[in-house]
Amino acid sequence: MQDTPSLPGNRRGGGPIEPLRKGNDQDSTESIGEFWTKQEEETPEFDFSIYNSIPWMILKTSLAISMMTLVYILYGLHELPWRLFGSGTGLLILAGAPFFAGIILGYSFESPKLSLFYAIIIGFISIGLGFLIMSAPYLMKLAYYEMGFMSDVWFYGFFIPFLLTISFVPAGAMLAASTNVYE
Amino acid sequence: MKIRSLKQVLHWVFLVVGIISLITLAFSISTYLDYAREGYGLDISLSEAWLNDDWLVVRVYIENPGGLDIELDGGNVTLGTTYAIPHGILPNGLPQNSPLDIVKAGKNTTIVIWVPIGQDDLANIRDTGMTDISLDLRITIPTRYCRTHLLYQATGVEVVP
Repeated sequence: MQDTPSLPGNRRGGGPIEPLRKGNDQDSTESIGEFWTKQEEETPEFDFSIYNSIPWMILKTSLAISMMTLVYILYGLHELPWRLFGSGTGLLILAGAPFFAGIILGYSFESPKLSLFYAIIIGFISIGLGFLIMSAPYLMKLAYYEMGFMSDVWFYGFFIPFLLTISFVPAGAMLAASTNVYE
Repeated sequence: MKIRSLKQVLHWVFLVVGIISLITLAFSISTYLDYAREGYGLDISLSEAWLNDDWLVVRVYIENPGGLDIELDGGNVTLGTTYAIPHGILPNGLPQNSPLDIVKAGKNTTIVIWVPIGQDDLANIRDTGMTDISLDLRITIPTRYCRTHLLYQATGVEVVP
């Protein structure tokens, strides 16, 4: 019978674990430690906190607002040649943009609650801005409008963006927040 | 710059997409407001003009790149004087309807507008063979519950007597 070294916990089966790196029994652990230290020295420290600095936060927030506002208005404004309404790709973009914005905003804070709160607030600001843009010609009296116009604005400028915001922004934010424990 | 993590990649992708979005947003807002101010995205050009007794007849080509049907209700034609576009039976026996035409979403159309003109303008056209034309068409966008104007101006338009 083959002589196997005793394993902790009286484990049976299997053979001795070969070290992945070459080394004898005396210095294998030590050499792995040296290898890791060497790797750390070669790889400069990557500080992710730069992406949560004030300038980046301002940039991320403003771009998240513009991205979500854009897709909300492009879904509602059927008159524009580059509208999102009426296509499967349009729907994907409509759902994807708030999700993506939610992910990026979710990375911003260590606390998942704070990330979630911040992302939803930014989502609501985007809804407000989109609503304002869609109703702007009516408010500025650029043309003659009947009341049906504002009904459309409430539906496409508030109802649909609200559903998207409360669904996809928190989903993205929480996905990102859940990975914040890893660097 | 070396890629260190997925978070870093996502941030830079977001930066690029966000900047593109910001530019598109500004362009979309400007276009949307311009649409409401005038024309609703219709692109109008005058193909030809001719005289039929004391009526001026113009053929215009209209493109609608947008996603909404637009009705051309009527309006005015200005030469030296402003004339309203009439509705009813024309000298050629055909009707000039109200609305004049409906330009379907993403389609093009050609319409012929008949308008009776005064003796001064008639004499001027017969003398010179050309005129300055200004069109002011009323348009309705039923799905937007909106009414606005479509304007067109051309100078030195050749008019076949």
